[in-house]
Amino acid sequence: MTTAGTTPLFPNLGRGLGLRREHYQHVVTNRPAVDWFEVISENFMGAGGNPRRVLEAVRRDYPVVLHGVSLSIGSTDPFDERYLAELDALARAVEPAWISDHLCWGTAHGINAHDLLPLPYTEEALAHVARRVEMVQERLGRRILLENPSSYLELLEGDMAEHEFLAELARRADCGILLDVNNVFVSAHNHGWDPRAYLAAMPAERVGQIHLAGHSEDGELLIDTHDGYVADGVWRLYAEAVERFGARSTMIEWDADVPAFEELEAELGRAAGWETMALGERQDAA
Amino acid sequence: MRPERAPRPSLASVQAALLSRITGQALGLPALGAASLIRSDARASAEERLAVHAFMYRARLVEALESQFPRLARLMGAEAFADLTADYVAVWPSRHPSLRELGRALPRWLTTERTAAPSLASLASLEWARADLYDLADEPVLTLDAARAFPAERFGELPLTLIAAHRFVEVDRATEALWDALAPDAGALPGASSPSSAAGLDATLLVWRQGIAVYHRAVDSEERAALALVAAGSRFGTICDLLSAAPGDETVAARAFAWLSSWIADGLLSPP
Repeated sequence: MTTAGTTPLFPNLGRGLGLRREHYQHVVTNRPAVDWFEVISENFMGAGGNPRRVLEAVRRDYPVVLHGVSLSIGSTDPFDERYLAELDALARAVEPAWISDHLCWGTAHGINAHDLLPLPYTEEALAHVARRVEMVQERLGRRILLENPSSYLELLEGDMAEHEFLAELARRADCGILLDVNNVFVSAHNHGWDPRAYLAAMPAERVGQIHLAGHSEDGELLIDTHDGYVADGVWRLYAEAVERFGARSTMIEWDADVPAFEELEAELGRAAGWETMALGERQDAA
Repeated sequence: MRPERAPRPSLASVQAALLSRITGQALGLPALGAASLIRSDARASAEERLAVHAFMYRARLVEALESQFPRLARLMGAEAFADLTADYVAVWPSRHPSLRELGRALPRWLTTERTAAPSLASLASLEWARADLYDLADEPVLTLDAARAFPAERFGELPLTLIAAHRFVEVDRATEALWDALAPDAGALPGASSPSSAAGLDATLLVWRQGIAVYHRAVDSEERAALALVAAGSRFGTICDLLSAAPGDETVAARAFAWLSSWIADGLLSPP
């Protein structure tokens, strides 16, 4: 099951958390024992004010990665040059370990749905997105990571499964993968996919980061709500991912009903336990 | 003879059709059923799956506008504010990568679309000005020590410029009190159309950011005129000249210095 012999393209930063407004003061004042922080790029694109002061203070003490939600890499609309310029400026100021966004699209005819919509997994879309990833990487002067989205619908048109599309895209565009294990779990449930086949398809060396989060039930569907604890099934899938890929920079996303920071640290401790166990399994298998 | 298969729709046309269904924006496209775009299965139909995204779209925009106009939302109540959001984004859908820009046109839209309750537009103008200053670039300010260090004999030549992080907002005069009454810790809510519904835009509020905090206060017409000169780049002597236009006024210097000291204390002036 392990994919030994592959050298990761991205360093393992350890275990991190999403930096959220509710915890700005705590993090800046108490400098908690977290290995790194992920910040939502769009929340810090303003040139000044409190967000930038917080980010500068956090960056002095921690590695930071930038995670965007508005690149709309799969859209057929042209890139928003202002957005790319602001992202580039933010990256120059923060010097993040890496920059990521989602394998999705959110705009058409200039209108932004502010959603992470799934692509039709066609050859046309693959060529289109690969070209756009290369454009962004050239613009930013660095390799980016793309995250598998959670999805609630599949478009009728398609030549391949999402995991095949993402794996081939990463190879073709020479980008990294932010593997959201909760999203794999949610989408697999919603569409009847095999989550293990999803993990197996990922090129291990390109998996640079792992997301974990809570989800909710809405009728027959699971919704990626980021408002609670990581589900048991997601923990088990995470362990399988670690066993397959080795230790990867892992973080907990919790964006709604955000609890006290100590709760997040406890959840990160659970991630450490699952990782240790999975690495033991990996060593045994090697 | 086998029937010819319909040509596969382009990526662009699939995206336009789906976004049109999610946002309710026509985009000049014929209405398409969800089943012609989206896979159905035993777990959920195409329509149900589309509805998840349509619901999240509406909820996300309501949440974004509520964060930019929290007191307007409080004044209107959740249901009316959600209806207002739907009406507004139907005309002003987001065309920017950041939701930060979503509310920019709301105050102006309210002046034409909610004429029965003009207090809403005034309150929205104030809230937008405050939100718009929140993350502008930090900038240095003129300090009292720096002003004092300017040669006394040439003090009239002291250059005065307003910081970029300021706005003048024309509102009806009840807006400042309404804003205070809608504070999270305030008591009973005032009615949406109760304050001075026919007063018009008869007051000016100065909104500015000092450090990381945003403030506002009313300015009278005389100070508004002086600040307009400062905003354009002026000198202290020019402000004194403005006050001297009132003949026989012996208090010109004292009033000009009072303004200057309050502007400096508020961090409103850029250094020379």
